[in-house]
Amino acid sequence: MAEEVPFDFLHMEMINFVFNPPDDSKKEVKTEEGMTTLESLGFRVGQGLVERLTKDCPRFKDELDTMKFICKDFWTSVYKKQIDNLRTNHQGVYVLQDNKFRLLTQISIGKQYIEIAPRFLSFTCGLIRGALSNLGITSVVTAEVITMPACKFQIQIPRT
Amino acid sequence: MSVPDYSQSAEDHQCLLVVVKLIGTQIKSKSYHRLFERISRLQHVRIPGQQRSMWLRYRKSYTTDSNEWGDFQAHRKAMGLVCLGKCTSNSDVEALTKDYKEMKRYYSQTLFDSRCLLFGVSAEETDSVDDKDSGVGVDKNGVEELLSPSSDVVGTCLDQLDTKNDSIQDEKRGMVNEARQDSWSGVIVYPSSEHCGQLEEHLKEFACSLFWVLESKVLDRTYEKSDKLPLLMAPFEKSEGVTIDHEGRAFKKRCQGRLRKQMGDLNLMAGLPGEAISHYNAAIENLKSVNDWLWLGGALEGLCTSSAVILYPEPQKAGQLTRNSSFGGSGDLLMAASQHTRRRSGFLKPNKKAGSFTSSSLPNGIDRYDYKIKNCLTPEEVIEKYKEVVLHYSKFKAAGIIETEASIKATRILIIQQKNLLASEFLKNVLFINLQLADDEKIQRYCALSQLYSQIGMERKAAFFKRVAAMQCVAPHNPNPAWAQCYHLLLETLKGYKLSLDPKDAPRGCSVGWPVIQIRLLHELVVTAKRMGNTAIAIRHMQFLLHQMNQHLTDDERKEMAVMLESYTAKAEGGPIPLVLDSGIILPPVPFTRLPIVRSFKLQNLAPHLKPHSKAKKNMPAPINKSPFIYSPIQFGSIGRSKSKIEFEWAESDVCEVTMQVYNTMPFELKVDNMSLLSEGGQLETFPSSLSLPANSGPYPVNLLSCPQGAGELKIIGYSATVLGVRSHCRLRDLPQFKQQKHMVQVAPALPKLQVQTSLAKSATFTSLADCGSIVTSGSISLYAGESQDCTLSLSNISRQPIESIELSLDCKLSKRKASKFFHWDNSRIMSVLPIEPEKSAVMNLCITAVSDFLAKEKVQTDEDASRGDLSRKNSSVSFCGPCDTYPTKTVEAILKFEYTGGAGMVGQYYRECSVSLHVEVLPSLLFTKWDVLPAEIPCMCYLVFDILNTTDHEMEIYYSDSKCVIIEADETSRIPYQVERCPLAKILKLMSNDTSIDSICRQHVADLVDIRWQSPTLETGGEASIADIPWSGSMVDMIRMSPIEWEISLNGQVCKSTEENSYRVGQPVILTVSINAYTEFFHDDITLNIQCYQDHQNGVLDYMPMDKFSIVGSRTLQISQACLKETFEHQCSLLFFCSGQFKLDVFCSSKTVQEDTSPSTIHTWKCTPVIDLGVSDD
Amino acid sequence: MAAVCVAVISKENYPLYIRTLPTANELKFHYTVHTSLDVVDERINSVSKNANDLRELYLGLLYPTEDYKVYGYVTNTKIKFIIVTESSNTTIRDNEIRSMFRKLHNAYTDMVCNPFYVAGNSITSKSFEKILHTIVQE
Repeated sequence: MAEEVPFDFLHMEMINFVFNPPDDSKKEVKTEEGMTTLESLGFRVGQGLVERLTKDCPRFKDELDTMKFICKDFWTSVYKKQIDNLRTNHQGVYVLQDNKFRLLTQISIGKQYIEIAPRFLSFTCGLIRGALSNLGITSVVTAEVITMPACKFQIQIPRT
Repeated sequence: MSVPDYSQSAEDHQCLLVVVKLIGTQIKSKSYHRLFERISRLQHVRIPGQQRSMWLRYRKSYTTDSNEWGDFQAHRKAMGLVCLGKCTSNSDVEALTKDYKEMKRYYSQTLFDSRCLLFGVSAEETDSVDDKDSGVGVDKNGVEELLSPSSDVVGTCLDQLDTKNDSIQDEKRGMVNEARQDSWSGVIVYPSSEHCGQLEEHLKEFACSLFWVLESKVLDRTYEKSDKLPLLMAPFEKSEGVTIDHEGRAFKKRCQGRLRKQMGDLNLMAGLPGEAISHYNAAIENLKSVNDWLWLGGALEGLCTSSAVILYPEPQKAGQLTRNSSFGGSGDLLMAASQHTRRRSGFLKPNKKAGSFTSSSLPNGIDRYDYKIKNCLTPEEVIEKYKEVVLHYSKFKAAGIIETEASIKATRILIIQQKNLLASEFLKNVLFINLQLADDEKIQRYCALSQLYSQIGMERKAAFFKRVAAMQCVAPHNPNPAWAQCYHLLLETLKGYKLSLDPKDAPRGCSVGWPVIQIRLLHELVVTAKRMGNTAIAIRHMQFLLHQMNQHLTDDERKEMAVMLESYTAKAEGGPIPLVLDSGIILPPVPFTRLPIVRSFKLQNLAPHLKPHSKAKKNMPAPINKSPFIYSPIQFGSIGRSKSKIEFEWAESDVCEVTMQVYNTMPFELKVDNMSLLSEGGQLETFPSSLSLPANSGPYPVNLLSCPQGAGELKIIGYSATVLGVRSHCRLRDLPQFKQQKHMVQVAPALPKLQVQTSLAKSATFTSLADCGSIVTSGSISLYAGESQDCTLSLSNISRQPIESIELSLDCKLSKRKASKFFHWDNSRIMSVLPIEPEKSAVMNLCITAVSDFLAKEKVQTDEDASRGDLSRKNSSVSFCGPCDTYPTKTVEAILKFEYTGGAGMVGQYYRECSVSLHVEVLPSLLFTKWDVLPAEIPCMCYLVFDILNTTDHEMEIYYSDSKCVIIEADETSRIPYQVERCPLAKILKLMSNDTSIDSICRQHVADLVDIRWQSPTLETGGEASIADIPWSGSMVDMIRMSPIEWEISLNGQVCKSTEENSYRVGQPVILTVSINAYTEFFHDDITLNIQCYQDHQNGVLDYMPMDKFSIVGSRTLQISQACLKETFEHQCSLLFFCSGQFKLDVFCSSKTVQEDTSPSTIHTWKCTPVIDLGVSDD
Repeated sequence: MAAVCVAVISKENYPLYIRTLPTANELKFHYTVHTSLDVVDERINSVSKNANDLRELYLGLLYPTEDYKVYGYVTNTKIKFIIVTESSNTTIRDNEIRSMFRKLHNAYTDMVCNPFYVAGNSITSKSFEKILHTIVQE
């Protein structure tokens, strides 16, 4: 178990660092600003990670195939479990639902922290977007928390 | 048949080949071409009375050795011939018909039918011909009809039935003609190539006749007879004399197989693909058994083509529609091919424009074979069979061309099937076929391959082969290298290599395409253009290479290219205009925006004293910068600015400036010549500058100067420069480092320039006043306080415009009144010298007076206190504090502003301003250290007493009060009395109505009366000493003004006079009667009358409260109500003295009750003057 | 002695890295590799149409020319690897080509993890070159 937690700790510290920077020059980091920082961090990690993870995968047949990869292999490698539910409208919208999202499990269940929960999702949004972008899919990824540790990631792929 | 026909497609197998030949010499190639186009529009003909139709294809020329392959594949046979000729006379007709016959003989082996179309003989002439030789196939009706406009076939869809009837009639007539006179058979004469509306009809008729001949062959069932069949042979088989066993079953089978194959061909052409397939299948069976590979291949190909014709009937129709859509497209085959990407359209010769003829020749609803035909191959099978076909053909070296064409046909089918990979394999096969080709034929081959590759979406391969073709043009062994052709082929490869010659298309930041190859290609373009002899183009490409590909080049390459470019431009300078090639391709200019890189581009305003100001703008109300909100996100000021958009104001014919910073990032020294501004919307005379930038260095400042030549709006849009011999126009909008695309400048009409000089010395220090930008000169002077001096200002006009108006104004920290006293000039004098013509000057005088308050500022407060003390002690025995050791010199700064205009600028309501900064040092001359007001002997006069301190180092004479004079040594003080009239009440009343305080009226009153002048013989100077600034205290002012109260005092009933002393004895009661007449205008409140008696010990001691020495019977203090004042008021009381001595009576009124705590300023006291003396003696 | 030319090509089809035998005419291989991209593109695009196709990263022989054989490989992130061998070299088997590509792919993914590498830039990594050296010179 111990070998699985470093990422969790790192992620927590990352959020801490972004929203409460050590130097007092910036008194208050705006939520959106911090989220963007985290998202772009995630984007770069996703890009690099997917390069490595897809090394032994067969070529993806189509978009859905790629999504399945994200839900299974990709998710497992980062969060040690698979996405619980994948839904799509077949028009470029995919909803990935994780009923026990790893990065939220350490936060107490209830309404207390639901406001700051998005902070714990933006890195992952970037991660997904980065992974997809490197796989040739341009997308917009948003997330929402329904009830604490469950959350949904919505991937929108603009159709031109 | 030495060259493959790269335009072949499977459909061509069903087309009947018609050769359209030019005879005679009178038709120009252009009109021949036009006629050919017109004829070749007729591709599809419906056979009248039949549920069938036939297809035609046309060729301009066809060699006999190609024709010889006709036995092998019937569509290679020239079955029809159309000759075109132009004649002007009957003799021409004769000659042309002879030529026509010659042609017929040439193709006689294969010809089914022929026509000769002659142009240029009018109806009458043909009539005569007709008369002479009745066999001429002139369609008289046709010609007549043709003359009536209604029958002009263009655009009208002919009724089907009519057409049919007509053509049948035509046909009959043609046959009759043929029967009558062989030499005239098939000759049709038109008045001219423009008037041949029947042409299409005649062609249709001709097509029908071909069809019937074909039909007769199709119906020939001789192949069924098994004996004595001829052996059809391919040309090379004949010449090689292949030894074939002419006997036996195998030979017979071979003959039969080949014949069946030919029958298949004919059936296909006759519009019966179903029949054809069965023939082919039979042939395949026969030929396979005897290993006749070549013909087996032929039969298989026939099978494939018939199937293709059945499977893909649409393209022909679709093709026609696309041609419609590509109307107006140029005749360039490749252009058209690239337009219709993967569709079939490239298939049909795209240079044929769609016309109504074609649409009328292919009526709607024609019955195509869209039902299932037995044994028709599936699309996959077609390709499989084609692979076999190619395999079989490849066994024969002489069949290389057939193999090539078969591969291309297969490719075209695969394009329809969108199987690009398979198609590319067929194309690759074409490359492996070894053909003996001449250089230009090779070029043709590579071009054709390139085009096909591009149709299957393989742009890179297409570009590669296009480049190979280009290289072939200038192959080293080629004695006449075709550089121009090579160049144009190379240009066509640009797309495949993702290279756009327009720098604007280049994406910023990321690279596109393959840099190494792109650089190579550009190099080749440069060399080719150079070899073509077109240096301008070579320079343009070189520019592009050096500029756009810069990041991919090594330093050495950059240097090398720069040298090369310079060597090219040494002969012809590279220009900034787009180059248009013969082919219509435009090579846009490549401005060297990065050689050097400009990092900043700033327009400069004119110097403040030259800046034009607009009167119109000045008169406008200032924009409201205030908003009712304390904070507003909207910047009102900025909105106003963006509306006007004018950033700078320049003036006509004044040199203006733009400053830039440039960097050279190249590894070589960069010489920039003729760098100047680019403008729009106004004339700008530029003064080019040149600079030389060492390798990899920067920034360097550059100033670009220019001079606007006309008033109005001017847009500065960039700069131009010559670098490496190339003139570039670098527009700001092309420079990504600048956000602003242009700068708007308002150019004011020409304005004069004024130069101002003063007679004063230039000042050493700069003015501390805020608005100092427009200062052109300065003057400084030292004056003693009160001194005045004249100075002259010379105004010269240094421009070519007259100065017609000058307005002077003064900016100074002093009050306006003081300033105007300090600096004085005569406006009317200035007006009188105007206008100042160009190159002329004028002089004006300025009088400077060192106005001073003559007060030692820091002492004022104490002086005041002292003087107050004096007053209360009545007799002023002045004890003043010693003078300060140094008295500071004061400095007065002023700016004299000239607003002037003239000439064109004046009309445009513009003006300029320039200023002179003036520096006046005011040295102290004398100071009033103390002052007081004393009552004079007469009530209407008073004495002003001044203590004057000479602060100069020299003796000073003071002149005052008409003719009085005192001499004061340096640093000495002298007291002077000055008797003046008190300020009369009438004057006060008069002026008070103007809201002026009594205080200032009195002050002014004395200032006007007092005239103190000083003269310093040593300094040879002198001046006035104004007392205007002396702060008289309230009681002094009361003294200065006439008392508003008139007194009459009687003692014991005797009116006392001031001069005489009244003597009384001790114990004698003295009755004091005070009667007051007051001017009520000055009193708003009650006043208090006070009677004060005191003993004067005559030794300077005044005893105010000697209660034991006298007593007053009656009230000493009395409130008088305002009402009582209106009339003369009288008060009486008695005095009783107890001892002898000198007593004095002070009678005074105060405006308010004297209370100890009231601030003194509000109390006005009016004394009865002079004081009444009472001498009391003992006896 | 196996490959005569190895190339790494970006998503946007510009070269990230190209290495040829030192003796070879490099420009020629530039052309060969560049034109082979047409086939790679076509292969990638046609895959989605035919679901039955093997969805291997290895694309196999792209096309043979008279002198060379061109093999292709595409990663899921659309990075292309091209290996060119001499046609005369008949001893090379498909498996060897595959293993070369594997090696190349491993080297590439390792290289991407270099913190100083920016995706899309030319590859200048020394360790990557070392591995490529073994492929070309083997």
